[in-house]
Amino acid sequence: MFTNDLQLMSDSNIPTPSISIEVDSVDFHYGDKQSLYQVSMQIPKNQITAFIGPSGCGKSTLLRCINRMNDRIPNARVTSGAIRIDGVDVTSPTLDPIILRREVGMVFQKSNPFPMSIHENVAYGLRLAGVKDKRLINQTVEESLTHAALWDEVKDRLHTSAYGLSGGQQQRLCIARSIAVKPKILLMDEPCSALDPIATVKIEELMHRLKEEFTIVCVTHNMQQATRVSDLTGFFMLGKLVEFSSTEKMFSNPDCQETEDYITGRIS
Amino acid sequence: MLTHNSHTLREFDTALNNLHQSLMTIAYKAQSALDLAINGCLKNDENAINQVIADDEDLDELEKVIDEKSLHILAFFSPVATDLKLVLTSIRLSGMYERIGDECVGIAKRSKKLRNYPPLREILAIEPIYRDLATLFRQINKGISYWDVKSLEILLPKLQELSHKSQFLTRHLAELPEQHPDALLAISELIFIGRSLERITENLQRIVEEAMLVSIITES
Repeated sequence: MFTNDLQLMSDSNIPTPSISIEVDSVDFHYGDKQSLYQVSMQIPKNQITAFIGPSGCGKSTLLRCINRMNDRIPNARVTSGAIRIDGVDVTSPTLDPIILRREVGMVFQKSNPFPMSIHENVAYGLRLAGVKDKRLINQTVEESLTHAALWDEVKDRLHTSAYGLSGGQQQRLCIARSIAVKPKILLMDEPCSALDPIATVKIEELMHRLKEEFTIVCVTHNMQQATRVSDLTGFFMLGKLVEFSSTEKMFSNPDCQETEDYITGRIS
Repeated sequence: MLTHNSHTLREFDTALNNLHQSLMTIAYKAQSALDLAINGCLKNDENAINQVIADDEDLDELEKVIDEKSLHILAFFSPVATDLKLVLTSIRLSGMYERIGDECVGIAKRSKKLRNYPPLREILAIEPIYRDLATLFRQINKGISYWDVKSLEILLPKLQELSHKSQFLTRHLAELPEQHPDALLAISELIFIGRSLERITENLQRIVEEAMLVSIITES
């Protein structure tokens, strides 16, 4: 479906099998203000990549470029470069962002369940995509909730309001909702920042399991979380990608002094 | 604004400085133990010998204190990168200094026994080794006090050379019993003192190699 759409639109880009997202010399502006400067990175498939950096460094901006969430902001645009998913430039204005977002799910900082039942929350994306087969919907809801490690906790109250769930459960519900439409990529913008340590651990365990099926890109302010969950880490500062390497390397022996200063808490 | 040497969290800096102070205390106490032990041996100074033995408890205690302070930093500040290396290196170095202290106690105890025998002229053979060792020990401790990797690096060949010299001394001492069959027991004590100097040199080599893993130079 979507991949074919993308591939049809792709003419010269050759997909690299192990690379899921290729960010190629991206500049980004909010109006006159430039927020990203020549950012380039290759995000591998089925790995967790963390973006870290001080507030305002551009990590969430880049994350939101991947599924074109920034399109909703007036005058916000990629001004040069490309972001390719499976070789297709997703910044192309000819690409329908709705189709893109079926392939690139997103989980936000604050859980945002819809004002409807748990079941309807997960089924929402499928219904939007035109799926009408109730058996298929029910099966997908169960699969998604199971994947999100929530099924056992909610299976007896699927038709009650999602607002009745705890914060951690709501966040896992949002993950279930995102994966129900079977995206390839899952973007997570500080998914645990509003959660207690136990709920955080559950989300982190979930991320480890989900990476077998999805490519995960996660923005986090929590250094320990980055070391616990991610395979690769990108450190951003003032709109520039300062360093991008394996998480182990970055947190034990970073190449750049700025990275060292940031991760050791020496930036004031 | 970047500040390369101080943490945003002042308590973290305080804890790291505190740990470093303890590390330097054990380092200088070990250095002092060597001076006292060899002085006691060469000058037949009983007070110096007794002080080395008595001070060893301080070294043991300091090693524990450094372990505790390091654990506190690991638990409360979750250090990474250079900070983590500094903490782990401090733990390892404190153990090495403590072992140097144990060797010094060994030298002191054997020096005490030597007092029971007629003086041996051969005891003077350890003096040049000690002089080089003491000089290098001071330079190493100074390098570690600033985590000055470059100054430590240039000491490695000198330590290697000293290691050969101290091995040669032990071999030389081991040949003495044939020449002095009447002073077997005294010579055996001297051989063990030579062996201790050899092990102290080895420990200093390990200390330098370990400290060099802290690959950046930080201000004290």
